[in-house]
Amino acid sequence: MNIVVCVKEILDSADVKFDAQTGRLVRDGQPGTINALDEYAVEEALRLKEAHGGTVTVLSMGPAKAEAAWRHAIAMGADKAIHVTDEALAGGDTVASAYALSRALARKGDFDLVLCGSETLDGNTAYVGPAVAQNLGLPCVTFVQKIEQIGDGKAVAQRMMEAGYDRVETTLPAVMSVVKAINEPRISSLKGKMRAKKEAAEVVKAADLPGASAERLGATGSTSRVTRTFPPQGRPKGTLFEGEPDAIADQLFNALKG
Amino acid sequence: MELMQDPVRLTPEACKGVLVFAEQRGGKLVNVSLELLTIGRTLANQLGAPLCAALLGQGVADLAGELQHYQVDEVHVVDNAELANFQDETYATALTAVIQTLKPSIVLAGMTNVGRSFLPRVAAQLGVGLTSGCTALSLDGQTLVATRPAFGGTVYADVVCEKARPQMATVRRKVYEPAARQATSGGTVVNHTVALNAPKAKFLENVNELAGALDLTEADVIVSGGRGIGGPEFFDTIKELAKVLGGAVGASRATVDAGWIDYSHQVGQTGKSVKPKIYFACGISGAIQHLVGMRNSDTIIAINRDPEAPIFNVATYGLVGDVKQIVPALIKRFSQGR
Repeated sequence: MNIVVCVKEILDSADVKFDAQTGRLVRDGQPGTINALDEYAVEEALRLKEAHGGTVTVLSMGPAKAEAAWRHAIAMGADKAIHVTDEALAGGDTVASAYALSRALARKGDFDLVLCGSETLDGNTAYVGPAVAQNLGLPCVTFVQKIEQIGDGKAVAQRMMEAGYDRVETTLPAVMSVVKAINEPRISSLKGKMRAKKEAAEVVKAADLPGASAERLGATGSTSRVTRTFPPQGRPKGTLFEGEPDAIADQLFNALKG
Repeated sequence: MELMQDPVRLTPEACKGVLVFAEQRGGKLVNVSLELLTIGRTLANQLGAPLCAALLGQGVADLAGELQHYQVDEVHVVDNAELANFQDETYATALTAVIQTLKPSIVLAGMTNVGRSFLPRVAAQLGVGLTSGCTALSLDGQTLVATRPAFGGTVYADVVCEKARPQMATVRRKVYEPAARQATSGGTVVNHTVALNAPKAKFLENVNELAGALDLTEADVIVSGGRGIGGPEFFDTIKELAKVLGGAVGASRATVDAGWIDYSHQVGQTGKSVKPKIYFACGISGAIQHLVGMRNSDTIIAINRDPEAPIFNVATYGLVGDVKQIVPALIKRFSQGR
């Protein structure tokens, strides 16, 4: 079972800034971290490897300095890392990014499963997983809460729905995006952390992506544009009720009735 | 592995009108689809162009007729056994085919698990962007301006895709009022025949162990418990208040991680984003990761011992005191009524 896990380095959402001119995210000097949902994808890959053998390769795209996500995956136990980074890929929207990632996966080849978090906690689009699958002509199961069985070229997975879950049977190779109900990610061992410090990723440049047309990469390949960013609307100041529980309950009841 | 060919993109000149994906489950339209018909009608009128709906399924002729009661100009139907249940690939192929035939300027779908699963495939096939999880839509000339939160709602952005067609967006639930059903039906039904192969990822069955439980994302009232409730037992009291109010039960991440309640109840950044009429936060301190999932609720009622807790910054009504005494008092008071 050869697995590729797509991970993204993101910034702490409580502390983000945007360039007023370009609308692009300002990353300078901000410490990055692995997208929390991608950790569950790494964990699931490691568990599948433990059960079925094979390799876990982590694939990350971002600026040259954005190494936190793939190093975290290595510390958890992934075998090797591929870091797709190039100025030509900068400023890409989800369409351009999914295109570049699908080309990087095609270049890697030789995998049975691609795992990723169901969404990133910065963009929150949940676009890249299924779009990568589409670009590669692969099936995709989104919002996976459990992989029931896998092997012999197929898998059965549970897709979380608003009401219960759907059981989906897919051929392999396939793409799956996971939700946090799927597992409990391990804490990296000291040995893993040491290895992650020393590990070097295979660096992939735009020119290395097979058959990628330059006009579909990065800012050039992006069809969407942010025209304005603004903070959420504040909520009006509320009313506090204090005192005996029954009195508080009565005050609230009357306030809601009014 | 086959690398898909570069898509042939539609041009703005070739496209007009608004297409709403009318999502159905078990032969019933999901609420957000009716909400999209409201904003879809507004946008279509401003563009002076038709409002169309796309309906995918098997044996959905009655539902197509039902859609004609919502001031839709054309209902585009793909009726096929491979669409009987949601399957990413067949849904994507069918909707892409409708879009390539109809050439709408704007395509809207709900931010449901179905919409989020297959709309990216449609967009990737068409080589266009998809602005996900919008909270407002407007027009700047012919250009759709889609407003969406990012970074878990700590910032909002206006996004445009002015050169690409169609301009695609998924929209959150409860942003718009559902379209009103008209007594008379109108518009036309257009049936499309699309050849659909069996997909690589096949639907087997839906399993719903909590059948009958309220869907958090559709509930009008949610009562949520946080670490302050002290342990899993108090969720029984939370459930009782929810029952009295006809609401659903939510939870903070801390309680889910502690194993007090199932993940499907989690509200917040790594859980569900909700917008009920009334949200009760019981013993929830109000970490930013929780706030981003519920701060757009109409009325927020926070119950917490600590008057400085950040949850009170977003609360319409703050109840300061012991959650273990106040929740039972609320159950008593709201059961009495009047």
